[in-house]
Amino acid sequence: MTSRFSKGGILINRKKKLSFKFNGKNLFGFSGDTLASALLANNQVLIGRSFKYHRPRGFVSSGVEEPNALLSIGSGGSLEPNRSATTLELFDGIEAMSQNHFGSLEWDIGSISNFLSKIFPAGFYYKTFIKPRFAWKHIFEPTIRSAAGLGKAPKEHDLSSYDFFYAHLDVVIVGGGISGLVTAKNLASLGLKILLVEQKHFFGGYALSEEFKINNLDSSEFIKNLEDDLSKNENVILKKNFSIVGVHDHSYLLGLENFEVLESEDHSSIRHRLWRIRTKHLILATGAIERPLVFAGNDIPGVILSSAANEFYKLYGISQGDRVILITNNDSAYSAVVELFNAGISIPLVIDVREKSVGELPLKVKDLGIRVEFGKAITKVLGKKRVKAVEICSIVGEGSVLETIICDSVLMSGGWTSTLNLWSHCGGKIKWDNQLNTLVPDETKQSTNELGQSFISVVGSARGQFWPSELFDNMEKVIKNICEIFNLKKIKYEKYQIKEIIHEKTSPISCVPESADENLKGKSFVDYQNDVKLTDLRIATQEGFESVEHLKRYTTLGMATDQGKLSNINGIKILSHLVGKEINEVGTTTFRPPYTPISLGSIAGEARKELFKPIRKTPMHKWHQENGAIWEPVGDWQRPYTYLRNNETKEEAVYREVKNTRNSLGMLDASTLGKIIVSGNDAGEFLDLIYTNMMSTLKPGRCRYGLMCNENGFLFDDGVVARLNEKTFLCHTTTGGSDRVYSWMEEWHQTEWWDKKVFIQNLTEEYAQITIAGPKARLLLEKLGGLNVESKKFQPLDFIEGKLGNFDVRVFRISFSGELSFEIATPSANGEALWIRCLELGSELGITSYGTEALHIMRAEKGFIMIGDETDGTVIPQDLNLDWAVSKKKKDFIGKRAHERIYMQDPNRKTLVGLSLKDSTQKIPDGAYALKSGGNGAEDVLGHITSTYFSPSLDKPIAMALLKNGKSLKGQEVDIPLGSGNKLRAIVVDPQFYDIEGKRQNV
Amino acid sequence: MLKFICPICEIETDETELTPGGEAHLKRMGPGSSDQNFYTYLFERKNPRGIHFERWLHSYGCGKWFHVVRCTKTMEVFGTYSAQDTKPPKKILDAIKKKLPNGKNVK
Amino acid sequence: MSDKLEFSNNLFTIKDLYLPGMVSIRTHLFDKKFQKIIKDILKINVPNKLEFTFNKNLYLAWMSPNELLLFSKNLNEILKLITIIEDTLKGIESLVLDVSSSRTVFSIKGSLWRELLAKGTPINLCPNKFTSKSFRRTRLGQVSTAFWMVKTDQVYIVCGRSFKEFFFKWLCNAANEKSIIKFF
Repeated sequence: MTSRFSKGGILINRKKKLSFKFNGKNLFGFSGDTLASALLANNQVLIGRSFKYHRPRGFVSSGVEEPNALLSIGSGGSLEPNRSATTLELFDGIEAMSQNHFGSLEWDIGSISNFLSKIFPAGFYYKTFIKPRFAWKHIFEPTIRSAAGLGKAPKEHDLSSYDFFYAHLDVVIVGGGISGLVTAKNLASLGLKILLVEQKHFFGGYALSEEFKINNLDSSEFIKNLEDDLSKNENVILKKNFSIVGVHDHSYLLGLENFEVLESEDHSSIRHRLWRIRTKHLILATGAIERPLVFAGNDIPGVILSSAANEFYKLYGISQGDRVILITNNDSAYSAVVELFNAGISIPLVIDVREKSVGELPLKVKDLGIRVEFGKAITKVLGKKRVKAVEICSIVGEGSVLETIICDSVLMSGGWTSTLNLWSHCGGKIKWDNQLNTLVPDETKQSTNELGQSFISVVGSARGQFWPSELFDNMEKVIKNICEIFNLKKIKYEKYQIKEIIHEKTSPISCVPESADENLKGKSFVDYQNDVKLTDLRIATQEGFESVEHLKRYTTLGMATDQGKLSNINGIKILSHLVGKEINEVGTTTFRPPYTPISLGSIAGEARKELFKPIRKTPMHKWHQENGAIWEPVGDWQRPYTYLRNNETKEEAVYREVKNTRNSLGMLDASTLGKIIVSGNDAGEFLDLIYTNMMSTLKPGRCRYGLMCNENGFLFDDGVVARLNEKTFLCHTTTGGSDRVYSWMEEWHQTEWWDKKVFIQNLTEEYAQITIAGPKARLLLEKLGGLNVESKKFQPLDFIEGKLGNFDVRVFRISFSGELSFEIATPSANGEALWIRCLELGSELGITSYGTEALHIMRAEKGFIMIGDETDGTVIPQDLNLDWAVSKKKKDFIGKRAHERIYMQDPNRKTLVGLSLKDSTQKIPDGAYALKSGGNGAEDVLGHITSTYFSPSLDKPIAMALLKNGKSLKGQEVDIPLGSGNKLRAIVVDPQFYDIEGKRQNV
Repeated sequence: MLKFICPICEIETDETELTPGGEAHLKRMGPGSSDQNFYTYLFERKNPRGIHFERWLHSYGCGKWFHVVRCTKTMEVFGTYSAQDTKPPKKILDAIKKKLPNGKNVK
Repeated sequence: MSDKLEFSNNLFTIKDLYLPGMVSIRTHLFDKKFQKIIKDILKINVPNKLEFTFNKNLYLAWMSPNELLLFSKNLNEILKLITIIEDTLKGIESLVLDVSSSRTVFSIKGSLWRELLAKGTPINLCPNKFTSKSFRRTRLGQVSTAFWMVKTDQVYIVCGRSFKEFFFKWLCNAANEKSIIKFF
């Protein structure tokens, strides 16, 4: 069993007990524990079930590389699935649940597939579910979906808070191990702004557990001193629980800072912070990860990496068992044996797959009286939910059992892999080094920044030099290089005194025994998290998947949440062996961000709930809110759709607003309309190029409706242009188009017609705008007082400026409703006051406020188009019978050349028509097709419905449609298919339905 | 995440402060141009793996358009210049030649 | 007009400078004649790019090579100046507009304001990069803004009027005392 020694554990504070729950059981740990060490202290070795076969699994590692110990943490709105227990610092009240089992963790019903594992070979999904088709949908997929997958996705809204931080730094050092700390120490005096991050909750890395002497100090003490020293330096920011997860273009880094330990109960403090970093230089002190060995039963709980066992012991005082054996292909793993032996653990055997080693550490182990067997291997591990014994065999041969040794834990070590993910995120290449038996950075193919210069240095064991005395071999060079980059005086570099340990080379062997039979290979796991076995790799290569990228996708090797941190190298080694090629020929897969998983919450940052997206409000927003407005989002704006009174339905409210406006008086908040000033000696000329119609001939004091097309000739915005004076125009745009049109004008002015003397200013927000419409509109303006609005003086398309009551205004006589209508603009600051004044004075006249829906209905009754309804980015003005607004005199305007294309002049283009229904109880569905009468097929489609309403003014349904050669169809019948198989029959009419002569607005 | 120096503000700007505007130095084809020329102007865009001349807008800043020369493969930026420069400055062309003596895609 | 917005905690006081005055002056800033006129009327130099100049309550900020923003907390002061500036600039290619209603200005008081702003803008806010002379247009979160330092522990931030309430909520959220880093 695993347990906690009564003494020891550098990181834990035994005086501070913390309680937590695992699968409902109340357990205790200490402050400084990880969830993993606390679980092991409680003899919780079985931690989850595997992905495919539901095999019992335990801890393999003690860090981010952990493939098995993924737990669901929390519940409800704070549930996080697939959280690695080895990197979660313990805090009081953690609720952890194991994953991926039906029934209990101990007795998983799903593990039946253990027996069926032979029918789940590599490429299983590709092979099995091709035929019959129905079986995939109804049998295989539901079964697999419920059986596979790790944790369950949370169902409730995330309660936690997240944010971003943008940081600019001179140097970022990734890794707070001894190499990272020493680098920071050497750079600290240079005055550079430095960020050093450590993904775990402590500094020192393996130098804390694998102790050695440095400058005559114990490495743990040396680290403590460094940490104290650096934390006092104001140029250096030290961060724990912080991972750099991605290196992107132009030296942009993404970092995740984890505050789970500190998160307050009300979730008002931040849980994760996503750092967005620009750095001039990046130093990788990312260390190395120990590799497992591949042998039968290497996934049985109790089989663990030797460095992890050592770390659990030294940092948290955890014992892996009473009788522990080691299998290794290198010298470094022996140090764990020495430590555990000295702690009183029985070590019945050390198995070394090499022929011999006369290194210092193996000799020391022998001297302690521990039995060491060279040239041996493990046939298989015995036990199901826990290691019970191992069978020993010779390294050569098929694995005939020579001896069985009782034990409760197996330490393994297959050598070390330097962590170079960040080196290659941005294009840096890596290569295999046979001498060092690891990946090393390829200095000739580095990641580069915006200047085309390399910006990453690698220090410490990430270079593939794993022994303490080799750690700082390139430190002087790196420091010198940084001084050069930043143009700083060179500093004196003091060498560190570390005693060299005499050692033998690591063996390239990763699978044992060398010629294991199929049965054993079928239990030898390469990728724990995705359940990829030796046999799967063999099948894949036999079937021709010899490229490492193909192998990966066919077998899913390295594709789980751990991204193959433990499995990739073993997989590549096996592949190279199977296809008889060198590792560098086989190649490695590409490392991609993120290095470790990051939460979706951290990506969203603060942009959730009411901060999800900016909302724009008009000056009258509060009044709308208090008077029953239902909101309609238009662009970023919130506009009242309609105002509900008493117990009205939405429809009733809209119809009331239309009728009231048509019969007496209505008012609309039109503040959202875009208002752009174009001013200068060439303003008219410039606008002639922007609009399809002639603007330069407009007289000051007058307005003109104008259209804008893009270079494709397609209509994209419309609005009324007013000429304020000889050199200044005010261009109204649609609500959604104000920013777009402003940018559009700026773009053409800056990039094509910069010789035109104009200034452009977006004044959309400067003015509140109120539409007063209806037969009594003039009466209201007269009541407001101050302006002469007589029809003779103030004609349609005129505007006047002055004081209306106490308000500074500009009043436009323009109508989008077909009624007598005035649009009053006043500075936004007065918008609400003017609105209320209009209501007060209008109440005797029976005024009503109306919303966007009433606006839409009234414009449709008049046959006015709406950008976005009648246009869809493929419609030219001529399609909408707006030829009159397209100048034939002008030499050029944006879209003119496109209008000359043959296709644009095709009589069969879809053109705008109205549709009328006989049956006034029906409504034509929006967006529906219109077919030739009696037609049924695609060839009968004439076009589609662009707008459809019930017209309260005419008491019947009306619609507009774009139909092929629409003009020729007038008076004909068309069919509109409904979803149900029924059809509506409509008659093609003119798209003006109401007051065709325009008498109402010209009074 | 790219960053460019806005030649107007002369300061580093983040991609998220900018709006991309596609290929630079297009010659506008207006009324009177041939169908083929107009087609090319409207639709044909370069998408090189290598040196590319682009337009960007400092939309969250000074609101001005500018030109960028960038290698789409390595993301190296060879320089930025005014939107009113109809040709890349010699200095930038020299820098590209120096980097890629047999340079392709160089205008 | 909507309510006056205010927020404070132990670190920050955020205030909406209710109805400030602002003028947009568009012209060619390098024009010597223009520079002299501004100096004569306002007793302020035309600022360098990315900077602002000031005289008591009056701030003049660089928006782009052909736009300045003149700002005062006092709307009336601005309204008086607009006509003077407009009249004096008659002979020069220019556009002078009252934009007091277009935008709103928030004041953030608190020595850790750099921390707050660095949650939303990708620009470098280190004291040697963003100085007491700096005026920057950039984004804060998803909102287009401009800001400058009025005192070592106070910044003014301009944003579009219609975004005011959204942006205020953003600021309050970023002012969370429990999320301070002490980076600068």
